[in-house]
Amino acid sequence: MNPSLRTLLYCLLLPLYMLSAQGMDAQIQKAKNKVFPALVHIQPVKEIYSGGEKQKMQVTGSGVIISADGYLVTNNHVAEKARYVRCTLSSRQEVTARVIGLDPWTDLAVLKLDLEKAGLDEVPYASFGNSRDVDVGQVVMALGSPLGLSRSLSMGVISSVDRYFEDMGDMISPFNLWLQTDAAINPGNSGGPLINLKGEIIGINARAVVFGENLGFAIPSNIVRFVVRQILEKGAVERSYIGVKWQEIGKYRKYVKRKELEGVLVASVDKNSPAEKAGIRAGDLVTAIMGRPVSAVYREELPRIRLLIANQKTGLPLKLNMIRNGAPISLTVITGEQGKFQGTEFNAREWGLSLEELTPRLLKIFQLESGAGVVVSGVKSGSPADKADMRRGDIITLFDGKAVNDLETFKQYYSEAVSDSTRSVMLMLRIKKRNRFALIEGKKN
Amino acid sequence: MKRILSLLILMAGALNAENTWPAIVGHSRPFLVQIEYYEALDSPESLSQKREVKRRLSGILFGDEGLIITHASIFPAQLNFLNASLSGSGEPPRDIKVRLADGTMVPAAFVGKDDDYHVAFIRLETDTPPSGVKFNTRYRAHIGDELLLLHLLNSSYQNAAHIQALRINAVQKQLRPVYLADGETRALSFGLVMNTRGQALGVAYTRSNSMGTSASGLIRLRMAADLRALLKKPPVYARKKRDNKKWLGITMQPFTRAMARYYSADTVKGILINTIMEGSPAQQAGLQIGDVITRLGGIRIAAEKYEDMDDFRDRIRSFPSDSARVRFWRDGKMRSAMVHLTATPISQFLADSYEVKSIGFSAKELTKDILLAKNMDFDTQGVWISQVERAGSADLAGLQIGDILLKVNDKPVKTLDSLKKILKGIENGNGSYISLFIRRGAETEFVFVKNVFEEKE
Repeated sequence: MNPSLRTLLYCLLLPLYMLSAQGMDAQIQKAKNKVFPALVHIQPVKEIYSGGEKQKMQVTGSGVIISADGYLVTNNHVAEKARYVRCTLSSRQEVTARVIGLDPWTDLAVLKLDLEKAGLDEVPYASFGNSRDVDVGQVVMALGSPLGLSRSLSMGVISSVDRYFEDMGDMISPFNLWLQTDAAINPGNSGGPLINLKGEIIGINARAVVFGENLGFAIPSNIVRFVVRQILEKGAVERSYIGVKWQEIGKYRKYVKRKELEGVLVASVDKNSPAEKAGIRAGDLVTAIMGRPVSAVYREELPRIRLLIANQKTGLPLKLNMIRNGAPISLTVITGEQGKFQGTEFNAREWGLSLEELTPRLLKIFQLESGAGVVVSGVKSGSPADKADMRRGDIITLFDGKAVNDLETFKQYYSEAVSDSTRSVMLMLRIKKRNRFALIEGKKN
Repeated sequence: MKRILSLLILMAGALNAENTWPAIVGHSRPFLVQIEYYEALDSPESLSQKREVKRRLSGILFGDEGLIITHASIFPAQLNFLNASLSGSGEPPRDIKVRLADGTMVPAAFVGKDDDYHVAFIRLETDTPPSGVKFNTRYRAHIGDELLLLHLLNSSYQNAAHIQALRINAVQKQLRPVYLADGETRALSFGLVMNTRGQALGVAYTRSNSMGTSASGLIRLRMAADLRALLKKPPVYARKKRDNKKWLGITMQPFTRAMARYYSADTVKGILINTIMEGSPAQQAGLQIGDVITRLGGIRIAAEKYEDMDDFRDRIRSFPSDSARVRFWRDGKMRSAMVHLTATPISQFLADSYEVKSIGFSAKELTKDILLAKNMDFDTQGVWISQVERAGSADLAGLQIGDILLKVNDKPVKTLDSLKKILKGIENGNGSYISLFIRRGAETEFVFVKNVFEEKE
């Protein structure tokens, strides 16, 4: 480059740069000031079952107030199983909160601050921005309590607006893509807001990559708004279920040598699901749902299709247009109810045993044909259950020869049995494809 | 005449000096041989590069037919479906060469092995095999017995013969009798056990499993009296042959005293059936979950501990005839049934496999060990993915080891043969995509694999 031209450019650039830095600083301060008063440091005391016993545990998370009367948003994984929740506002005032609703499928929770008890009329709150307008490279800030360090702010840019994660164990996000940011996010930031320079919530921070650097992920605000509204109206998010696993068609197009093909592939159909009953099969290419064309060439397009089905009312006929063996057909599925994410737990204290209801999700994990039985979630060392060699993951199918259909049946048999402490009980357990008898011995006279 | 005389003199000399170590070593050293062989190392991630590794073992020449007994680790594959691991090679040892005491090298062939006794047999490939040791099969070992162990040191000691005195310090009766003695043997860990007069009584090893790990400080002794049947008629390994052990097809647990009390059946002792496998002899004989087996072929079954289960399993595995009368307790009554015992299902090591080189995977027919590991119904038929070539076309498309292959290009795959047939038509379509419909866990999915042929050089 011509040296004189370069000097000229520097002269032009330098003042501009300084000017924008000044402007940026002001913007940051302004945005921060809008959200900071609504930031909440959350310390729930959880009741969890561990080693066959009920135990208490305190965790730390973040949250953001979204209404003057004290509703706040945080993550499900912060608020779930909370016995009570202690919150510290950014004014450092301590206020208790109660859980209004949880949604494990999006990892969101709505809490309500007990303002009356704290002697407050109203609290400052932040408002949502439109996450669809968020773009890569945009400056954002994360607020919260990383590693318990409350009222912290970190800054970065949006690294990606359509990050897709496959479900992994309890870490699932079937209905949303993620905002990725390089603003520092650590454990404790969970549930805190990701904000833009206008001071609007564009996401709720929920995940980070352990050992990764500057890889934080937030749930987009449009998903958050939807879930919050549902929880406030109905106490939970109602979703319908048909039992289909979808697969993108990028490579399928190449296999069938049709580049222009649109639709989404049925990869798997759950046993005894509405889809199976309707005759849907793996390999069907679905092109429209209720007359609305659907297509997923890349997997990032799958959450939208799952959401489309989930948002239908349960018990309604859902017409699917599809191509099977090259010919167009249509089938009607009656939507079912999405099962519980986590089953109810029960502590059979006399036996040193904690149990969990079998949910559709667990049935899949254990590859069970029927939903009958309850699963052992913990065994206390030295307890009668331990002496009978019972282990976490065993499924109780019979109780003194009688079928254990669900947790309620078990509770009933159990309370009858323990009323006589000398009584022994023979359980039948299922471990993978094998059974085992376990004798819970009564006390000897 | 001269030869007979010298033999007589030699024998006399041996008799005179029978208790001296030099004489015992001199007499028995010729029976100890060094075995060199190649073990195939199948990598689950590589189809083309067959690796093999040279290994050494020691063995004992016995009888007059050139048979050598050695450790079962010479062929590490577990043949039985219940103990099988999911990786490793199903190829028996290759290029076996035996170095005799005089230094000559003689080729040998693998005969077979017994996983319960941890011994294997090979045979010298020569018309005039040297004479081997004659085992005393009548000796009954007892705790405290004084014994001698002769074995070979490794090549850094020029394979010198090594003799040491042992005592039986412990006896493990259950399953198959194992006599344990304090001490360490070195390197080539298979040796000859003798009494203090040099009479051959059995074999010893420190390796306890195919991985070659050893209980440190303990030598395991197997007495010829217990190995008699195997020494007389060594097991013969044949690919695709069924395991030569029998099975009943149940899983079981001890019927404890507390359980007997629970059922008000205080006098009943035996094993409690908790699972019956599909298509098993037990199922065909009408046995049911909850039955308590008290006698097998007229022999009373003891079952207070879990170790007793091994004993019972062992009895079944080596049951002398094909039918057994089983007495069992059900609903307060004693009953009996004839069970037709069949051969134990094979493990995946013995199953046929088929390599699809162009897209980089190989498949095997589903065996019972895989069904158990995958939590699938015991009578499921089909094909599973046993190898995926690292960075091959199938690997890049996301195919994984352990996937169950259900369809290829929408055609169902029921057997290895049907897979071969389907793929035959496809293998020429270079550059096109193949659709593999697989099951992974509880769900199915499609894997679209680019069909790539590597240019042959």
